[in-house]
Amino acid sequence: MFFTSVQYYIFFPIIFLIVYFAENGWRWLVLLLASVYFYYSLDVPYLLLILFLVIVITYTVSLLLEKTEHNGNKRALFLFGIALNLSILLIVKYLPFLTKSINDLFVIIKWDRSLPISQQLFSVGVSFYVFQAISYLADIYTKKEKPEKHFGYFSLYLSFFPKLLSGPIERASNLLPQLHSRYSFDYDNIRCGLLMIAGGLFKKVVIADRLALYVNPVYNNVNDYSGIAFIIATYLYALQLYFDFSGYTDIALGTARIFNIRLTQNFNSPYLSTSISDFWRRWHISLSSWFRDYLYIPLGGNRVGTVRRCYNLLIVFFLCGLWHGDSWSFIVWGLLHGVYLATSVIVKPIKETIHGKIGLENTWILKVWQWFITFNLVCFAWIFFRANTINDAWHIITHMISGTEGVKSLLLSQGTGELVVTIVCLMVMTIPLLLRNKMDSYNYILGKPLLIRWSVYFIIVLNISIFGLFNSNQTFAYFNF
Amino acid sequence: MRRLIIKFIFLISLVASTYISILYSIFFHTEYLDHTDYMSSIHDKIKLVKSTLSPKIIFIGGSNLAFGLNSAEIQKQLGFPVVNLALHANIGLQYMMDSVKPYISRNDIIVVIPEYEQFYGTYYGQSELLKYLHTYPVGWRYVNWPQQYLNILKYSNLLIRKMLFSKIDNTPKAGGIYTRKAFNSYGDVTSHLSESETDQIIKSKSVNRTRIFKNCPGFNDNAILGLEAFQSYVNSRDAKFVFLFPVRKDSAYQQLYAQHLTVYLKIKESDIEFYSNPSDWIFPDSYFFDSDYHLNAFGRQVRTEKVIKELRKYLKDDPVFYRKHGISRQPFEFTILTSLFPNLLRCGNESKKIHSIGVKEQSYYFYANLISTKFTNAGIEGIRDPEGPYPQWNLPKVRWIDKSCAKINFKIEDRSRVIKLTMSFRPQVRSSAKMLILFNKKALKTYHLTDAENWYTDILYFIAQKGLNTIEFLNEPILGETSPPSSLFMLFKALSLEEI
Repeated sequence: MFFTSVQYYIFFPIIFLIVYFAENGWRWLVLLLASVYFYYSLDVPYLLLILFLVIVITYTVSLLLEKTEHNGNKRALFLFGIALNLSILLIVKYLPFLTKSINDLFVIIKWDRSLPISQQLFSVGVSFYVFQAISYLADIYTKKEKPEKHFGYFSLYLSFFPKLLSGPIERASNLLPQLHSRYSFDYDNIRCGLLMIAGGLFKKVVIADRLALYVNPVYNNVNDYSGIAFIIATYLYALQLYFDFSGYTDIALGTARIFNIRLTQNFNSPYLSTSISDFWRRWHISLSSWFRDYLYIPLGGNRVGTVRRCYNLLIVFFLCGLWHGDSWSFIVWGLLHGVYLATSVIVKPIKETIHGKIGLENTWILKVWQWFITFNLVCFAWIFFRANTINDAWHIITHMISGTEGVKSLLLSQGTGELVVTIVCLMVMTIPLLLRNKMDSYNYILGKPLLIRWSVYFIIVLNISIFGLFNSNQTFAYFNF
Repeated sequence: MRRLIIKFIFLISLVASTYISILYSIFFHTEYLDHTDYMSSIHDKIKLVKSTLSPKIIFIGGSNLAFGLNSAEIQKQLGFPVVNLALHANIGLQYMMDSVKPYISRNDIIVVIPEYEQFYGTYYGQSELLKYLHTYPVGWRYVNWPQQYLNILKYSNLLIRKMLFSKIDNTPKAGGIYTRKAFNSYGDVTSHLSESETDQIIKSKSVNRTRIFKNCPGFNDNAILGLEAFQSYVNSRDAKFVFLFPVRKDSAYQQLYAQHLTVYLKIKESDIEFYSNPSDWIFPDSYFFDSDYHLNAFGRQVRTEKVIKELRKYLKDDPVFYRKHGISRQPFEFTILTSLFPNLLRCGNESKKIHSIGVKEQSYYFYANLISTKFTNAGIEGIRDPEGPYPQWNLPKVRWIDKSCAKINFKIEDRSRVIKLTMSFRPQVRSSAKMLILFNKKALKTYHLTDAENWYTDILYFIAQKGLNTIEFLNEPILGETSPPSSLFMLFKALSLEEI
C-alpha cells in the first residue's frame, strides 16, 4: 500500500474514524496497529521484523542509557546502540554492495579470492527509521531528551505510518509530545491535511510521473540520445525529483495533520537557493539537519579551521551520498556536493571582496547570478544521482554538448497534448513558487475567500482525476533510499 | 465532523459528476473514433464469427494469437473454418470468454490461448477493454464483473486525455502494423510479415517485460476459476474446449520463470484439461517480432504447425467426436516443418535423431538453446557469441568456433551428476572436418564430418564430478593433412548442457 494506491485512501479514513471514536488512552494502539498493518501491506514480512528489532534495540538501549551513571559505560552503551542499528542498516541495505566492491577490489589487486554476494533486500523505510533511532539515542545520550518509558508510544514514534516509508526523519522532541497529547477534533487541521494530500497527489501523479515519461527514456538509454536531450532530461529530472519527493512529503504531512500531528517540513523552495549551503537548508531538511546535528557539528562544525572544515564537509556528504543508496553514483553525487561546499568555504572571502569592490553586494543581479549558478550545480550533480551507472553519468556529461539527436522524438514521444499539459503544470507550479518564497502555500490557499478556495479544491481534484498517471507504475523516488 | 463530511461529499460529488459528464460526452460521440485503427477490427471479427458456419474453430486470446497464427493453414490442414478473435491481452480473458459465448455452437472447437499476464493482472481487462468498448459499444453487454467496471473507471482518464488531445496531437491516422487493415479475412495480423529483419530486431529490443509483470503483482486465482467455468460452459454446449499455453520468447521465459511456473502449476492443479506444457511453446528470441509474444513470419509458421499438431492430438483423443457429428475432415497427414522450410531439417540422420528423442526434444531443437541459459554457470571459451538468424542462408541462431580448440567449463557444486550434452553442428568454411570431443581430458567421441551442407545432431551423456569440469572441442587432422588447419570452423545451431 503506497500513498498513490486506492487502498491507502480506504485505509487512512478508516483509521481516522477509529481514532476519532476511540478513547484517548487507546489512540496510540490504533495508530501503532495501523502502522504495523501499513508496513505489512508491502508484502515483505521481514521488514516488520527489522522494524521490530530497531524498536527493541533502541528502546532498551535508551532505558539503559538513562540508568547508567558512569560516563565510560554510558558512552560504550551509546556506541553499542548506534553500532547495532547501523549493522542492521548495513546488512539490509549495503551488504551486496560491500561484498561486490570487495570482490572488485580483489580483481584489481589480482588476488584470486571472492566473497559470496548476498541478495539485495527490499529495504524501504529502513534507512529513515534507523536514522531516527540513532538521533533518538544521541538525544538521550546528550540528555537533550528523556527516554520514552512507554514501549507502545516509543514504537509508534519510530513506526508512525505517514512518515514510515520515506520520512521526514522526526526528532523525538517534535513527535513524541504530539503522540502523547490528547486528540481533539480540529476542523482546520483536517481541512489543511486534506488539501495537502490533494496537493501532494497532484505533484506526484500529475507532474512528477509525467516528467518521468521524458526523463526515463533518456537516462535508461543513454546511447540513443545526445546533447540537448541530456540537458533537457537533466533539468526535467531535477523538477521530477522535487515534485516527487515534495509530493510524497505533502501527503505524509497532510495525513499526519489529520491526526493533529505536525511533522517536520522537508522542503522550502529548494530551487530558489542562492548557494549550495542554502540549498541544503531547503532540500530534504530533516535529513540535512540530521547530518548537521549528529555528524557535522560533532565533527567540529564551523568552529574548526578551513582545511578541517572542508575535510568534515567531504566526510558528511560522502555519508549523505551513501545513505541514498548502495551505488558509486550516489557516493559521487554526495562527494560532489561536499566539493561544492568545501570550495565555497575556501572562496567565500575572495568572492565577498570582489562583490564588494564591484558594488554588487545585495543587488538583484547578484542574487539571480547566484541562483543560476546554484541551480545548475545542483542539476549537474543530479546526473550522478539519476544515472543508472557511473559510466552512464560520464557518458551524459561528456556528450552534453554534442548535438540534438533524439530531442524532437523525446519531446513528442508522449504526444503534443501531454507535452502541453507538462509545460502548463510546470508553469502553474513554478510561478507561485517564484512569486512567493513561502514554506506553507497551503495555508495561503486556505486563507482565501470561499469561492477561490473551492475553485482551487475543485481544480486540483479534477486535474488529478483527468491528468493523473495512475497506471505509470512509478513509485516514489525516495522509497529507494 | 458532520460539516466536514458534508463538504467533502459535496466536493467529491461535484468532481465526479463533472468527470462522468466529460466521459459520457466522449463515449457517445463517435466522431472521436478512428475507424481504421487496430481495435476497430473487432467489427470485422464479430462479423466473421457470426457468419462462419459450425463446426468451426474459434481462437481466443491476446495478441500472441493475433500475430502468431496462420489460420488459413490451420483451416487447410484440419478442415474446419477458423475464426481468430484475438486482439489484445489487456481486453482481459474474462471479457474474451464472456463475449464469445453467444457464438459457440454444437461441435465447435474453442481454443483458448491466454498470455501469462492474464493470470496476474490483466484478467479483468485494462485500458484496452475501455478502448474496445469505445470502439464497439454493443460489447458493454458482456461486462459483467465489478472488477471490470473498476478497471474501466481506473483507465477512463486515458480515454478522456486521448480525446482532449485528439485535436492538438494531430497524429496521423493509424498506419503501419497496428491498423484494421493489418488483419486478413481469418482475423490474423499479417501486416508484420513483410517487416524487414532490421526493423524487427530494433522493435524487439524495445520490449520492457519486467514492467509488464510489475502491473500484475500477485497470481489471480479467479483466472483459473473463470477458465474452469468456461470449459464447463463450452462442454455443456456440446463443443470442444482446448487449452494451450502461449508462445513465449526464450529470454522472457528465463527471466520470468517463476511467474510462468506458477501459472503452469496452478493450471495443473485445476480441472482445466491440457496436454502440452509451457516449455513446448518457448521459442528462440529470433522468432519474435516487436514483443515477447508477437511472432515474426518464421515463428508464426513454426507455431502454426505446432498448433495443428496439438489440435490433432486433442481431436485424435476423441474419435467419437468425428463420427458422432459426421464431420468430414482431411486425411490425417503428418506434415512437419520440412514441408515449409526444407533446408532447416534437410539432413537424413538428424531428422531420425529428432524423432527418436521425442517431441520435447524436437521442439527444443527448433529453439536451439546455445548454452548460457540452461546451465547458468557454464563458462565458454573459444565459441563466439550467438548470432543470426540469417534467413537468407536458412540459418537459425548459431554460434561459431573459429579457434582450434573451444572449451565449456562448468562447476558441479555438491555431488556428481549425469550431464546431457545436445549438439547440432556442421563444418563451415571447410567442407570436411574431424572434431574430437574431450571431457575432463578424456576422449569422448570423434566426429568425421564430410558434408558442410548437413547438420549433425547428437546427444552425449556423461558423469560430471564435483568441482570444475571441462568439455573441449578439438580440431583433428583429416585424411591427407599432416596438421589440422589453425581453426576448427564449426557452426553450432544447437548446443545445450543439462543436468539429468
